[in-house]
Amino acid sequence: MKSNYLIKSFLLLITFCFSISIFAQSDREIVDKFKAEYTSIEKSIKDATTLQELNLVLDKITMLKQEYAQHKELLDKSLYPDKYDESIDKLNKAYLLRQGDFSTIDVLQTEVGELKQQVEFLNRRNNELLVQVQKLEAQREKDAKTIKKLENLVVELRSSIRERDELVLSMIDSLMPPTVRNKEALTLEDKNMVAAEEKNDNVLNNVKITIKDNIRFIKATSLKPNDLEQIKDQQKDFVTKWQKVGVKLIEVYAEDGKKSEELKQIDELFNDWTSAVKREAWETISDEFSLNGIELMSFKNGDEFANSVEMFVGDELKNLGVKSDEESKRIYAQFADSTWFATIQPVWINYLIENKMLTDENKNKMESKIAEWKNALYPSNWWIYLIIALVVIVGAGAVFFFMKRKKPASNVSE
Amino acid sequence: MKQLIFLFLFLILITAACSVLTLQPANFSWPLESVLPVDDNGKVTEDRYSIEVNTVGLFFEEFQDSLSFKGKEVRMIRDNQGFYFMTASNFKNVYVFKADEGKLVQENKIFISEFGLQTPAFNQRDPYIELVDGTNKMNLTHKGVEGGSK
Repeated sequence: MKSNYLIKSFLLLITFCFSISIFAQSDREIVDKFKAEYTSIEKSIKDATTLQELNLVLDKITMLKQEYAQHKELLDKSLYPDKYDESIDKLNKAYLLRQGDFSTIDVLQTEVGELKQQVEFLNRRNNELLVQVQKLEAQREKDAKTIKKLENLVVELRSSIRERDELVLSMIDSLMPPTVRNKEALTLEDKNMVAAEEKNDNVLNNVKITIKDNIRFIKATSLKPNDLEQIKDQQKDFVTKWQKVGVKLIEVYAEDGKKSEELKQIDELFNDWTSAVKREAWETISDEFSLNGIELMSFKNGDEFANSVEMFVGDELKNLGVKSDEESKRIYAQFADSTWFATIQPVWINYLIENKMLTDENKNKMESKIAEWKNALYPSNWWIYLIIALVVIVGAGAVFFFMKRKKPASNVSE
Repeated sequence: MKQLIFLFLFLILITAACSVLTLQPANFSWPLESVLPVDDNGKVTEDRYSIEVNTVGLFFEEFQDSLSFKGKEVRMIRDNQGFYFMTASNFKNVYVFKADEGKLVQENKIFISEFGLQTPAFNQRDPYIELVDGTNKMNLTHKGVEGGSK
């Protein structure tokens, strides 16, 4: 009976308590809702791709602040480690920071737009110059006037290509601000930020065109070691810059399925460029011989070059009795006086050795072979001079001897 | 007289040796309840307050079923005196525990509803713990419902 009474009174109490309030809300629910809205605003700030989108976020921050001001005390206790005011401050700071990004993007966009125009102009100009150089290169042997014109064109083309390369590098710089460049991996918002500056893959195309034009330039011209050194420095700059940002640019600009293909293509072009510079030295050396009528067996490294020279000289030595002396001497003059001692030795040998394209051993072998050839063609007559000297000495001695013997006879007669 | 002095000194020594250092007042209240998912072993972990406890016994006590903890989540809050209040959906009771050496010891079991709580939630309303279920709410202490008989 007593327990029945207790239960009844307890149930009444519960009913009374539960009926006090029509609406009851969990604190946790309030805090969770605040956190969810906070995270959503934070994400909107990060994902905004235009200033207009970002401006909408500002209203959301204001609304959040107003809506939860009444729960400040609860939020101060519950948000950990931040508090209500700090959380709102954080959102405002993130908003301002992002706004700064957009200002930077505006400046960079203008910069990139201007650079693009210049690059396009230079691309066209370089193309025209390359065609002219190729035409003149084909008739290089014609006359001095053509050669002069060609040289001027090459200088113009080289500086134009250099100018365009620098512009493309500046474009890469502008497209990939240092803050983004130094990150190990790009986040979605970084990609959006960078991609907003350039909607298509022009930048990748410009990189490819730049490398291809450099390769075409090398192929179309005969360059000297100084030119090659300059090209190597330029190549180094470009490669360094590409290594820093290339993968990230591809991540942003290349189509999803084509990223690795794009990267491979550009890497291959860089390799081709490097090989073209190396090959250019050997091709120019070969051209130097060809211009003087000497056809060496083709070579593309130091060993092959040394073998080719040794083989050529060896053949000439074998043919000494077969060819006329005059013809042999003419070939020697073309090879040694007009080519080897005129261009190869003073201009190229040091470059080849310094760049580890030729060893000292190779150089010595070639030089001794050329010396051997010279000796065979122009044998030294030192022994004739020795005999003449001996005859003169003996003759003088004999004269002296006879004169000395005649003197006592005259004394006797006195 | 001498004996009295010795007795007096002896009592001082005994009193000094038996006194326990007490720091007060202390407030143990959590500002917000924690909603903790029960893992496959029946354990719940609260990272913010660094507490980890096995709830298999709690679910067994409530449902008389040792596997009833699976897929459940426990609501937990601590009041200013340091008592832990725990409940979960479909529980008819709120359990009150006090911390002991490596364990939580039941202090009270507060009967709430014969039909079980649908969406229970605790709010910190110092000195009470407010229990909210849907549109209903009531204040609890470690002794029971505020103003109630438990």
